[in-house]
Amino acid sequence: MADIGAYNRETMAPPADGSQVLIVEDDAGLREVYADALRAEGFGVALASDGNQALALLADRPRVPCAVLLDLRMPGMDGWELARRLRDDTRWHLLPIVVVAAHYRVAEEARRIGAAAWLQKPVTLDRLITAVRDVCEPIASGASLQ
Amino acid sequence: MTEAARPRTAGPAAAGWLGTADQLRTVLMRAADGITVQDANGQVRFANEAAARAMGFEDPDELMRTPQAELIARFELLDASGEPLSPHLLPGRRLLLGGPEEGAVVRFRVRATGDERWSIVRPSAVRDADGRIEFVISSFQDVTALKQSEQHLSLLADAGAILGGSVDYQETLNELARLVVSELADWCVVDIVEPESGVRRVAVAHVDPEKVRLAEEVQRRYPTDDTETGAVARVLETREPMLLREVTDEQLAAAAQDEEHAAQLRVLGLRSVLIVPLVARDNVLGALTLVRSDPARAFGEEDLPITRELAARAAVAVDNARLLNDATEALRLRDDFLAIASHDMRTPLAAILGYLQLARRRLAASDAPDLDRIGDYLASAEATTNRLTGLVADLMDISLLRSGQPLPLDRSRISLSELAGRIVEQHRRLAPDSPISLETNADPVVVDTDVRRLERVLDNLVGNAVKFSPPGAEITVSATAADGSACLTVTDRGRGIPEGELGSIFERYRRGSNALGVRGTGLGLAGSREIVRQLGGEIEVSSRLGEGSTFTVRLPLPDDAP
Repeated sequence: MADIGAYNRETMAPPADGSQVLIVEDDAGLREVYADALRAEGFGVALASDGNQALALLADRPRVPCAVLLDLRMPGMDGWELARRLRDDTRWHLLPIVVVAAHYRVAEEARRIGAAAWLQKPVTLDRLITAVRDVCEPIASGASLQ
Repeated sequence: MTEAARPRTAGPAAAGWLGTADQLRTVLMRAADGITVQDANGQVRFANEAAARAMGFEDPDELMRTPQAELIARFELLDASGEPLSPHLLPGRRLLLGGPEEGAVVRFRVRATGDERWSIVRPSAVRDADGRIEFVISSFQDVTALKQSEQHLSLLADAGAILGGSVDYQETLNELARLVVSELADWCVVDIVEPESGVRRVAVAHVDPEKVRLAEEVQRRYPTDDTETGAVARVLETREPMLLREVTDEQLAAAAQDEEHAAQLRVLGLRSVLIVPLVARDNVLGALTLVRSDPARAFGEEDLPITRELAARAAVAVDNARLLNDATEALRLRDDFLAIASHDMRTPLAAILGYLQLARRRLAASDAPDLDRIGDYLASAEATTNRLTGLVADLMDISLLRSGQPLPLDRSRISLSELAGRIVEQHRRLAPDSPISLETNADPVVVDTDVRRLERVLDNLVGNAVKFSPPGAEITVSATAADGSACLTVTDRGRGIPEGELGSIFERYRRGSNALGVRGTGLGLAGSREIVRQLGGEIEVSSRLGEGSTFTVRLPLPDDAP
């Protein structure tokens, strides 16, 4: 069953500030599921189907998201490569990554790319939301990303 | 035997029959064992036929006329362990020189013929009244055949230990070659037929390692491939041993590319050659080549059984090593397959789980839930379930294909152009950076086929084209009818496939083709070819390095096609 990594807090209030989450997932259906679930919790979302699109979205927007939900295996630029690019770029290197992947050694892979948390597919929405809140709330409540 | 024990009736009769000197002489002459009589000076005074034959003479008289020193010079004497033996230690002479009346195993090589023989020699002295030796009778029994089979058994035992020692057949065949050159030949070469890359020389051994270096040098300077054109190739083809009893100077010169090459071949000493195929479970796995350099020790029919036996054992060892490799590889592939299959199923499962949870959350959120929205979620869950079902069916197909079983086909009449259009459209969405153009005949091309399977094949080919094309390079898909066949082609302008690999890109289980693709197709080119064949068609590839590749799927047109 789905497992949650670094964070596992129980309940939290929705963020009032409309913090934005960047979702990078090649499966269109899953992208919509994550997006709907996070919107319902008050988050804003930006959607990308691979690393290239994610980088383009980040470059286009003045606002830095509070978290990146990242799949690993994707056609085009995969999750490993995107994580490397983000780490190497001073604009994004502090951006928390939550890996959501089907990889059977997802914990190990997440550690390797320096992710803040990891979840293995299929993941329950409760856990997904908890993980996103865990990384986004400290930021929303004042801790600076940059 | 005492007088009393002698049979009463046979005694007088036998004595009567052997009464004449002629009769006694005949018995002695014709005895199966060799018998010689030496006088006190060591000169041979009598030899029977078997003795003459054993020492390489036509008849006993010739032997008896030969002076003693000359007689001894005709042989190279060896003891049982192969060390040179002084003529004084031959049992008869030793006895004449005051030694014990004791037999011995004597090994000798007839210098003129190179023939090596083993005898058990037993001397006995006849003395005068004063106890002086008047003459010595030696009887000798030829045990060459016995000795040889003893040596062969020991060779086979050693070979068995080597071949059973490891599953690395490269190493064991090298060790076997080294064993063979210490016992059976001056050179030993092992060639192995590799399933994908042809014949490979895995072992070359000579008693003198310097010669091996020389052989490598000659091969470098005058590259010849006798595994493709020469004797080895013929043995691999006919599966029959080949015996070149004597390779003459003329033959060597004819095989050489120039004078110096011929000279080097002579130094290598390729004088007598025996090649035996390695066959296991009716498969020719390679060939064992033995070479002797001394024309006096040329191979003959008598060398065939032991060489065949060695080859049979080597073949079983190679076969076992390969079976083990295959089994290990199959297990690894299965594990990879399961890992990737479970990976590929997790994504649609995650989506289904997500839709259902979203629907439940909406229901729980308010007293007047948004039923349209909930309906959408359920529809999406249903669609994804269908996709997952398709994925499971594909995995099942891959599993069937890998174990070589026929797919349960579901044929219907479809338009090839429509099918191509659907796949092209999917890939345009997935890979917007790769322009894909579609060419179709004005008249629709229809085929009777399994639409899902054919879609998988085309999806796989287009997916590969996208994967191996630089961004922006055009990919062309066509669906046409030509020469009585329906044709699907996928042309890319990628890096192309090296000519040497064109023949094997459809091979099963090639590394790289076994992993399920990024989108979880997993079919690979091997699976694609197998599906197309089961659909009654063929798939082929043409390619130019640096210019790109074209894959063509040909399917039969229906008999009643418009």
